[in-house]
Amino acid sequence: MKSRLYCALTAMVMFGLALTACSAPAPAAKAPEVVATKVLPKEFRFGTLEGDFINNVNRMIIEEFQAKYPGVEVKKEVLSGDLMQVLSAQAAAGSLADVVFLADLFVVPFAQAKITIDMEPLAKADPDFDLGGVYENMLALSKVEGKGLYMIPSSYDVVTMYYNQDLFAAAGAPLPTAASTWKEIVDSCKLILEKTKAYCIGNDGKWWATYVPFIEGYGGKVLSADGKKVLLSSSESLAGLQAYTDMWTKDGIGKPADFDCGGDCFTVGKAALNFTIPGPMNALRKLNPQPFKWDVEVIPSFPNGKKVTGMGTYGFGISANAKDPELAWQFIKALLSVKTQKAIAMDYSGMPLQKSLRKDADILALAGPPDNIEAFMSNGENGITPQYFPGKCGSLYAGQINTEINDAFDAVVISKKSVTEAFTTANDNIQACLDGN
Amino acid sequence: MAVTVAHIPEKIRRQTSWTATLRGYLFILPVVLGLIIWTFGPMVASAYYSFTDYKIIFPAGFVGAKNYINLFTRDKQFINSLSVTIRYAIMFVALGQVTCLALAVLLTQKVRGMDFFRTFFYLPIIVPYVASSVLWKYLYNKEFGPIDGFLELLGLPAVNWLGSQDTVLLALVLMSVWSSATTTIIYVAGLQHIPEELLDAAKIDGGNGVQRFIYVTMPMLSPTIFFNVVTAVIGAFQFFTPAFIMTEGGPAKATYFYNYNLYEKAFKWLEMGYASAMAWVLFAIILFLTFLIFRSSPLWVYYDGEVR
Repeated sequence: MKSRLYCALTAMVMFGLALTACSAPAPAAKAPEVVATKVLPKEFRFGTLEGDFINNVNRMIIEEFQAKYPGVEVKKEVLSGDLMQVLSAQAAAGSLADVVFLADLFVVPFAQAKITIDMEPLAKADPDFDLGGVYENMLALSKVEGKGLYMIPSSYDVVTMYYNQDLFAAAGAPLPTAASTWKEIVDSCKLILEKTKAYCIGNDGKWWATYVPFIEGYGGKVLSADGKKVLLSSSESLAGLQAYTDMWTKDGIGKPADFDCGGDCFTVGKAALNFTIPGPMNALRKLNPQPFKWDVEVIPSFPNGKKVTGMGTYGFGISANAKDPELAWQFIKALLSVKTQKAIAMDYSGMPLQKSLRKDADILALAGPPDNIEAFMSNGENGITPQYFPGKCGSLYAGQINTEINDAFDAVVISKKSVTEAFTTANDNIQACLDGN
Repeated sequence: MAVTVAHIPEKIRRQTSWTATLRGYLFILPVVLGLIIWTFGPMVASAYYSFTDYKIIFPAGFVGAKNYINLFTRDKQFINSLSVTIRYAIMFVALGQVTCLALAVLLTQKVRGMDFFRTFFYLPIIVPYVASSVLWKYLYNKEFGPIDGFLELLGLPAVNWLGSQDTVLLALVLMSVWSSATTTIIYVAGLQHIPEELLDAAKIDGGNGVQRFIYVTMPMLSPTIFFNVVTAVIGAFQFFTPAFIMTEGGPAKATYFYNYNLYEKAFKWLEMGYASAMAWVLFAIILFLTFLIFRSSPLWVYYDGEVR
């Protein structure tokens, strides 16, 4: 009798555990109401990354916060691995830190899933905080369909042209200037390839911030203004994509997909150019001795005289898990203060988002390299932000849209298909997905 | 004084029997719980999610068979990734079994130092797959890899192992065969199990080495071959790590394996519902292939003592 009882109990325990294992995940937590709390938590969780570009930013905002709230311990949690996976898993498990690292690509999906909260009410209620001095286009990256404030952006991250002065000199090619055209740069690159065997573009070119500017530079668009029609196969877009992929297929100045530089191609001196944001200059400057002379310049112009480049930013948001959103706001807002923004620039970790620092004498007088640090700021006038795609087809960063475009690049560069064929296929597949959602 | 069972009172005997039963259940409880929580639980969960649009950060909504229908009708990468996996499986199973069997035959020869050779050939299995993938990526490197360096020493042209769509799958197959030491060890055990007298009898009957291998060794080894083929087919369809580390599915999707496709759908696109459907389709494919191999086994597998 007793054995049956024990067996039954054991079976019940197993069944209970099985049910626990099979249960559906908890729905995303609701955004907490903004309530000022009087009793502060003893601990505050801050989920962030580590690296040359961000270590000082982390330190600065932690120090600024702890000066105001010495009784609250800031527990820094380093997020490692694929950020989308890590943050999504934490969100599903309900274990997100109070304040989490974000990037522009996470703003919309995380806001829609109610993983991050809208900070606009907190910002408006804060007499010490003013968004008016921040570049509007960068602030737009923190909004969902033009509304709310889901991320406090970190810096004015405009894709700018880094160049290896030694390779240009070795090839006898003229150094890039603010007036350089893409044609002149490509001609110089051909010379560099011929004389030094170094490529000019050291990556596979699949970053939206480098190929979308070509599409727009030739008069095309990725998506119609109403977000319903994919325009990758328009004649203007195809012309831009043709000019872009020619750098790999026709001119051979882009690194072949299977060429291994043994590290970052620009850093190891095997690529003459690097199109990237200001942050990497910090790590590059730390190389001792400097492997080569380098500087930065604004993006070259397209045949119509237009200059277009990509821009975006990382930042921080308050998670729906935050125990005390008001306290989280006090922590996060330090990122946009003039003091922090200037400190980020002075540390070579980024360019300031505050318009008032646009011509700051201290920043402009920073010791080189890069000597032309002002190019990071002036290049912002040519910046475009990533196109937002409605529905569940992904974005230029991830999901089906990203995959279709990457496949099209592979089809052109590796499988030698025509730009028209490859990108028309991508266009039609993305359109089918948008129509189906 | 010895006590026989007959002398133990009925009540105590029943209690002892009951305690032993309970103890038995308690001993197996950790394994059973582990199976329920970590194997059956996720299986049931994934079966459920395969009928939903679960995306991790959004609650799951029931979509019926939509994921399965889309898989067969709208996902061009489903066919491509399945094709890559099937081509890999054919090459890996064929080349792997022949190589491992040949190696096992060599490792059962009566020569000095055989223990060393057996240990030496088993070493690849103790290298973690991630580490061996990184190692082989270096070996295959077009710019500074030793394999191409060796080919150049022989006056042969360098091969773009991982960069060419034509050679990349073969490169991964070769690496996988290198890692198949377990198969070799199983063949060694199988070969050692073949009765010497059968081989001696064949020898006395005038059979040469090849004839003895074909007419005695192979039939006697067929159950081992059967086991190795089944596990190799299952393993081939689950291939993932080297493609993830060495090629990232490229170049141009040439190593976009089924599991890599599944991984991207699940963890890059966060389409957990869709990826769950893919996992169940993969399960069905493997089950079907295993069933085919089992059904074909009476035609080519001989069990010791079996009369035909």
